[in-house]
Amino acid sequence: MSQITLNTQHTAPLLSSFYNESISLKKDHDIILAFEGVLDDHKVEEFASTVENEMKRSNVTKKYIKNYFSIVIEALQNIRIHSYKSVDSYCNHSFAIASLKDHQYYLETCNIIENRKIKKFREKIDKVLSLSTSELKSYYFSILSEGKISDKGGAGLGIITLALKSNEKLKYSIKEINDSISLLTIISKVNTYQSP
Amino acid sequence: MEQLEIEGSAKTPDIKLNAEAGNIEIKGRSIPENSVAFYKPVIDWLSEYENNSPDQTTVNIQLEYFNTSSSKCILDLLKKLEGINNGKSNVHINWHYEEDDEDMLEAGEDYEAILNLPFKMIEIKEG
Repeated sequence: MSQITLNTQHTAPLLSSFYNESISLKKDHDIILAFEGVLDDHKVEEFASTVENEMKRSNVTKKYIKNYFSIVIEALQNIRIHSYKSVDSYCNHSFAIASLKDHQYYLETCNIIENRKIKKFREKIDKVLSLSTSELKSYYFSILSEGKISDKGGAGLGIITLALKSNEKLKYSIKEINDSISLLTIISKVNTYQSP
Repeated sequence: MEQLEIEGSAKTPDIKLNAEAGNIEIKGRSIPENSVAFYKPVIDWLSEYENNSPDQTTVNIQLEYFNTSSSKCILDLLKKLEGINNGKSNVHINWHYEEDDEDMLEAGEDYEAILNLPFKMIEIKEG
């Protein structure tokens, strides 16, 4: 079997500069919590519970806290399962920014994706983005009914759940770093505004 | 047959499995990264329970959150119970959901639609 060597040098400084740029673009947002570095299981839980507690302190309706909490868990666990993993942890950086603007809670995540996996990912997310809420629920149901879990522990339901829990369409972008890897950014949003 | 109790954590639910009483209880949050490993002892216990079950089995599931990998493991667990319900013990599922948590109610309804098991949806009133 041939070994594929990916050109992943300097991804940490690159991710770090992309993170700083994303933070600076959120001047009109309140940053609730931001993380940049190597994500581990403990940090996922810590990030999710910190934003949950912050929303509780702000008296956000429980339904929206639950939706946002689910988004954070799925988005960050997705990164843990699917993000490109190098033997050099310096190349395994990702970031997540939880922020608030006009009663809307945003979650922006960014991680490294291998270019060879982009086509499949685009097919999945573009399909999810093309569906209405009821179609998404049917799609979720059909995948759940199949009852399969991948070797990596993924259920194939993460992106669908992000879309179902966001009350606006997900946004994503893919920025190529070199011929091996790209940066994948996904933005989810929960609108907590309730008309009086 | 031995009882199985797993104490809950910030990421995993409280699990209480009592073969003698025919009671199965799962309560709390289920968001572990490795759900398959977490639910393995439960699935193994149910395999043994299949041949040691009393006439009636009551299952109470009360989850505040679950991640998508848990959703598949819960389906596996319920499929085991569906097998047990097939002539070995009458299985009843009580699916508890918090008031206004339509997503959790729908999750229970999804399982009810997939499985041939009697479900009762129970709303938990706040306060």
